[in-house]
Amino acid sequence: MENQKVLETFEQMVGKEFVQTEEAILQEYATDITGLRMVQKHFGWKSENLAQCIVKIHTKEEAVEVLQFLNQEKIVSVPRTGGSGVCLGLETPKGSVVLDLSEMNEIIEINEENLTVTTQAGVALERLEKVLNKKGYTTGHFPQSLPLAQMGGLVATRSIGQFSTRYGGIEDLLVGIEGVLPDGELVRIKNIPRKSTGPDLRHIWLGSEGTMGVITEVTVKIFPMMEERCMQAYAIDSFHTGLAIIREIVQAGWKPAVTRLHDETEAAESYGPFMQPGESMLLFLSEGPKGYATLEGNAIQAVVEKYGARALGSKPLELWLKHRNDICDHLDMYAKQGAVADTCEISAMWSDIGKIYTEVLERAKAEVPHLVAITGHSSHSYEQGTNIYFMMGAMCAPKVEAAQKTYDQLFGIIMETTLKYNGSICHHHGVGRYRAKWMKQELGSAYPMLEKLKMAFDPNGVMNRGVLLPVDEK
Amino acid sequence: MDQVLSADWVVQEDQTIDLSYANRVINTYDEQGLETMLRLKDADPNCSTIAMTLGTKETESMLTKALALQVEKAIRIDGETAISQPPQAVARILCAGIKKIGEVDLVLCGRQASGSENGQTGLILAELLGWPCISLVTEVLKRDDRLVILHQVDEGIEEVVMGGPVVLTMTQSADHFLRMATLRDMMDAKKKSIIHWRLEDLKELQSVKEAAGASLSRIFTIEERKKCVMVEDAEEFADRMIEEMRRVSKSEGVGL
Repeated sequence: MENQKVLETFEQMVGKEFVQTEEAILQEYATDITGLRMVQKHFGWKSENLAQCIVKIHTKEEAVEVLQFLNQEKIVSVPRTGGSGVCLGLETPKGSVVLDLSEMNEIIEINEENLTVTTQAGVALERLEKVLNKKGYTTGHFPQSLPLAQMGGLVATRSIGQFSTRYGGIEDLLVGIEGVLPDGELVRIKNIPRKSTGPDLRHIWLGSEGTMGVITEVTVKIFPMMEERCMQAYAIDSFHTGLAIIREIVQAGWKPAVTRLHDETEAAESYGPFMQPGESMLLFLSEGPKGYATLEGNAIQAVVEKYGARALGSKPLELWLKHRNDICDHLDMYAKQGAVADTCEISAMWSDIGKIYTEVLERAKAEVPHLVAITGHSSHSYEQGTNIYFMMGAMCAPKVEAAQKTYDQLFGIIMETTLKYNGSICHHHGVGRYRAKWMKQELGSAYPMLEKLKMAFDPNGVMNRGVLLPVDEK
Repeated sequence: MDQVLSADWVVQEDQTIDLSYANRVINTYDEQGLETMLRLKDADPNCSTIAMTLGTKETESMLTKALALQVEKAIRIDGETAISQPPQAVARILCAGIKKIGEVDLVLCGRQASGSENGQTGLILAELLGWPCISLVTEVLKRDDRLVILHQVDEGIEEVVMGGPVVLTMTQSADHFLRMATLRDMMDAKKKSIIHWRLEDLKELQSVKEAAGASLSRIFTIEERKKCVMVEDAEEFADRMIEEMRRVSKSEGVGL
């Protein structure tokens, strides 16, 4: 169908004012906030692959109609809400259609009996949290993208929050969900605490990154605001000792909501006056009903003291709480300093995570010519393992190609090393388009399962093509 | 300074604020000055660059960073840089330091410290040196042998073309950020030496107190007091508002 006719069809479906075609806006929507693009934009990058339009969707009925049409015309679409993706998952293929659900932003129901909240996909998490706080509740979900992220995107990317040890990731919080499949069929998975009726279909949506359809509504858990908090920070002689401490704490059954270990570079950078050279920083925040936090705090103290950690009081935690999302106000700061900088989060079993951390740092320092820094912290821990959130930056010539080369080298080191030790290449940022090239190695013999799922749900390959599965593969 | 938690902004008995847990970093305005100097050097490799600070041993980490960014020479003048340090004292010490260096054409400094926010040091320094001063500078370029200086004025941005010597106080600009030092350059910089001058090394200056000619006697917060009148009835509220606005306009000579 001709481009003009496509636009007219959308205008009839959602209203003329909700179909945008201005080039400047298409350029804004052409990518997400991946570190690579932030610096490349600063060096003059512009997308050559603009969408043909942005369609702002306000109701599930509109979503059904729009998806039916896209499927019928075999037009690729890119669904989005808050736009805070960091893996090129929102990058537009040429001539695609962006489905913007950020104006579907109604909080539908706060159910105080079942402790759930149901929202449309475009509800901003920060707004939802404020509304709930006024009623004495919390989502328990605090990703660093809190000031930007919206509910649909959080589910679609398998988000996790900074208080995850207690509240879990979005997969632990999601109760029910409604979405539109690529052929336009509206489907709902009802709200149930737990069931045994075959595979959990919610997991088709969790981490689908827009490849299996469009999420229109979600129901997630809410929690009463906790009565008690205990905050403690410790300096420890090495990152590896810190990992051993966290392992012992979580394997003993404690769940400090915030459980963080910052390596010596991060510790010196953020908490310098507290630290001695070479020390890493452990941060623990326990919260719960009256009595719980103190009990857990005492148990943590007993473990860390056994390892010779140095108690630093609660001040480092207070600082972290205040500044933890500052980066959202300065997304292009490093780009303006001429550095290719980004973060990359991986996970692995306890037996392997330390090896990945050490080898990534060694390789980056030896191989990346103008490295500014590479650091790591563990921020989400489980009985079986933890994540490492690498932060890295390197200077490069102020050219788009040079930025790409440097970025690929840094990321490549992390991906290769993680896969070498059988870790996972994404802990919570998702795959997007950037990490899709490693998905075959990531999934191994399970890769065909993802291919078949995609084929079953989206046989025409119209939903966010190139995400999860590399475009040349499928 | 935003590292310091709001609850900790309390003036202590010794007229200081506890900043002990805040990481020492170069303040934003000084970063602008440093980056501007490096850009001038990029454009003209023949000019020489010096970073100078007044402070205790702890401040040397900032000079090390300057050296890592390829500033050629770093000088630390021994002294306290507490919030209680008056700008007159800082300016006098820096002035003596600049005179000791000798031939200097351009001094770039931040518009104000992020702790005390006096915003006076650069201006007093220029006066002491007998040089002109341009404040709120956002960008400096070199054209032939002249400096092209862009600075903020009430109406917008003014361009001034002049020769040195001159003191410029730098302010933020949207796309002007201090470049980053590579890990290797940071490691190399740690091996470079920082020149250390004591106050007695500077002519005419034996003590900070002497340099200042003034000392800080008190820091305090002005208590805001508001007079409130509680009016419950809506109609009465409107009448009272009109009456009050008439009173204010009359006293200020404004027609209502």
